[in-house]
Amino acid sequence: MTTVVVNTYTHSVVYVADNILRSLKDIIRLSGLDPAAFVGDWETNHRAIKTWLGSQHLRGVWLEIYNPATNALIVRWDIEISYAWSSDDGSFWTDTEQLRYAIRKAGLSPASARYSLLLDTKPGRPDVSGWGTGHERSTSGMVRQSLGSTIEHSGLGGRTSYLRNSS
Amino acid sequence: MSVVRRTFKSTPGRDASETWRAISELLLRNGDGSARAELEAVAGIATSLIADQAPREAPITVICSGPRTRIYCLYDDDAMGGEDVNEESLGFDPLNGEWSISLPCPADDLSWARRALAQYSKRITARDLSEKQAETAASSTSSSVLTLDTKEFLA
Repeated sequence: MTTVVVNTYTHSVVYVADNILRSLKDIIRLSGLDPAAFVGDWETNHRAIKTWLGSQHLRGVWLEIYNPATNALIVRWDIEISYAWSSDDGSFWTDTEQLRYAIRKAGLSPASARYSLLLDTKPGRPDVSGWGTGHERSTSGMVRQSLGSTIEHSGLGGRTSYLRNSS
Repeated sequence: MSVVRRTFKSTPGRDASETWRAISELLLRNGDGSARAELEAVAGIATSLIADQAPREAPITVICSGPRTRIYCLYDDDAMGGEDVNEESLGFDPLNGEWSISLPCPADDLSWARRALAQYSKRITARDLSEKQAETAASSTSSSVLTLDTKEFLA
């Protein structure tokens, strides 16, 4: 029997949303922090990412790791969404090794550090329960290191980079 | 002890959260309140392990006073085709009596996952997914496949 698999945009949204959260969980763990609080919010975070990938309002996903005493950013991990979806190419791509290498390079965060997730959206996004407008922490004086594409299915994917202090 | 296998489609056929909900519904045959509360409490941790594709090769193992249930997940193209999916309801209560659930877990995630699970449940634990062989070997010695001896039966 021959099986034909049909790629749909919904499949790509599910794959990319799951792997964005999986990658961020790995970043938190490899940075020396406890991902328990992050996975505790998995469903809420997933609902927002999935909804706004589906409507193509999601521009990026930002994980801020910050000093809770000063509220200053220590490092910010960005996954910028690329909307080049096509039903022609159905390959699955998540590069965890590149992430591991980059996290080692970025270094461990202090055990006292905290993290928060921000979603950067275009205007006109549909409402998602539990999500509202917020503000990012200052990235003044930080430099960006790019990893390139780390997640992709059928052209829908994410390009990862991180911002850290230049000193 | 007999062993029953089920195979659930996961990413991208359904997302990891939905996969855990579907698995939970299979297990909550009697809708037991306390068991439901425990399965819901660990949902984020279990979902994370499913997203890690831990149950691809190593099963979620459910032990109770009856048959043992092993649950695998399908990913990528296998989760879109559906011909290997078997999510049929079980002919017994998989959480009957003293039950426990062992979640496969990547070795690097074991420390935080065990700590986090312990906050919500004593029955739901995580094991290194590479322990699959030992678990399989141990269970095979105490497991039996039920077959009908037609010669004896018709005699």
